[in-house]
Amino acid sequence: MRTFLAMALGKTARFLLRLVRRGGGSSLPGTIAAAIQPKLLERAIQSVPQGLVVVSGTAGKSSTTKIIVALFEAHGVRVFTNPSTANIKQGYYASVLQFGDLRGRIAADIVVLEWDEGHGAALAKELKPRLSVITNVLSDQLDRFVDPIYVQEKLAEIINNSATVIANRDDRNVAQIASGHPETFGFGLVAELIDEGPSYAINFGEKPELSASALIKHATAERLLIMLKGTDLEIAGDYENFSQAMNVASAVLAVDALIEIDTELVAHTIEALPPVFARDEMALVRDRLVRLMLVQNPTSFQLNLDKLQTTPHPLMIMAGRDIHDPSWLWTVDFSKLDGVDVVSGYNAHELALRLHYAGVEVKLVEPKIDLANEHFAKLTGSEPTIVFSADAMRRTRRYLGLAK
Amino acid sequence: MIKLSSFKPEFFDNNGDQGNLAVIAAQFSALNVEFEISHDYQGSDFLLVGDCSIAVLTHFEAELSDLLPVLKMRLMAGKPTLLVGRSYEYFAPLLGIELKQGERESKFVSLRVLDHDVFGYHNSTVVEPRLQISGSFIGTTLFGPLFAKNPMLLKMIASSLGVELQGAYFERSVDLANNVREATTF
Repeated sequence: MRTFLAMALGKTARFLLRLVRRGGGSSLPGTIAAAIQPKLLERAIQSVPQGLVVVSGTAGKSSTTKIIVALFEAHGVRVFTNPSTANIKQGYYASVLQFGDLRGRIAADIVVLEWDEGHGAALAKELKPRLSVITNVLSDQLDRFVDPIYVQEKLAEIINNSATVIANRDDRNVAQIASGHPETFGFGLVAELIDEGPSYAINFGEKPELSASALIKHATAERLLIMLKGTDLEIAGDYENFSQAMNVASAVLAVDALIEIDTELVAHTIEALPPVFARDEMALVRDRLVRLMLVQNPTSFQLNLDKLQTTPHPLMIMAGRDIHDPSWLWTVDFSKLDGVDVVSGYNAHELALRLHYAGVEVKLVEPKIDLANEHFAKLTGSEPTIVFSADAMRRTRRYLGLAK
Repeated sequence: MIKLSSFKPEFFDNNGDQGNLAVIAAQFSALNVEFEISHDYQGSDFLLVGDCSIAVLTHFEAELSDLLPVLKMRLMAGKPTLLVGRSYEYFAPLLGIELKQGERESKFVSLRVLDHDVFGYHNSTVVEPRLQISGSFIGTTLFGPLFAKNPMLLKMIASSLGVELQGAYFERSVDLANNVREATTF
């Protein structure tokens, strides 16, 4: 009865909110449902026969989750997942409200969830994942996590409550917490590529050897070559960014651990995948194509800036409320930019100060997202580009009617 | 020539603290003041020890011990120095600065110490002193670009290095910092 009531009221709240907030999401319906039936999520997952797969770690969660979902679906497995970046508990409740029936059951074979590394530890004890993918530990969100060692502790909770673990063998922060698990499979780069690979949170401790179950042998602008349990898997695409190659390797290894895969189908599916929600996508905004780049931490900010060959114009950079302590903006090298047309978002002035000291001229500082977008829409230039944090992205998408 | 240095900047940059050095350098460049940035902290005119992770603090404990006598001398002389975050918390008791501990707080704070109104991001169990100023020796829990956000503190440090910050670039810096302060929720 509680489940029925939670689902009915949550769905109603969701419907009404979406009438007044065009395309936008909200945590309110999920909060209402959770208050009525705290076990809503647990019961929804229990209704799914093949259990729960989770993806956690500092970076790469969304991309990895999307790839896992696509691979399962390509193999005929029905998947329930959490859309976009709704990777905390309220987001899962919202997903159950969206896709579950009034009895809180989900019509799926398997659940694949992206787990925020902070919230995942508590959830793991309740939900006992069948498999967890641990991407990495970076020095990120220190205002929240204080130190990478505490992120490591939280991820260890997820590992210890999972039946099978897919772990980044190159990141000693991950290797240290995964090595004691009896069912751990490692993914990473071959030795010759490790020096060019991603950097992780500084850790001077030992580096336990995890199995080399999925090894990236080549990752170039044209192709990715993974040795999956001794067999080569080649995927066409731009993999100069090793982080994305690592996401693919972990996703393939995760799916391979649970179902029998068709390697040709795996390659075709990954080759056909669109970019993850606004990570780097082209969107039609008022009759012109605008490049949208999502930045969530120093690493992704720097990676996105490094991808720009020259400064695109018009260029708008937006730092939203999700950046609680904007100090990390000072670890990003902006010096390659020849100018920024608009800076916006809750932390617009912080960004303007940072750019001033980086020697980058800013033409307009407009904290209000709507006004900034209106100004940006009037600017001419051949490569309109918006670089934004997650909060600014959501607000911009909602304002422009782009929200999914 | 003015010598600016930072202790192992590649490791002690948890929250963009090295930006403080960049801010001094940018102001000096704008005024055509000659300076050099060196990793050798012996004899430096300005020394920065940024925030670091627990792993870094543990790993470099021996080097930090070597640094202690240098910091003691700088504190006694009030020489331009900035200790940030975990580095401040590590050295404070060794330098005779008593830290009062409490519940961890992670938020922007505004502090008044001596004649300085200073704000920045505090994420620590230290209740007080969150900002310790002795001459031009500064120890603080406030992370990140402290000098960028607090141009009067920057002016004090520059002055103790024999440079009077002024002119269009500095005035623009002050305006931008004021905008940040006005937009900050404490």
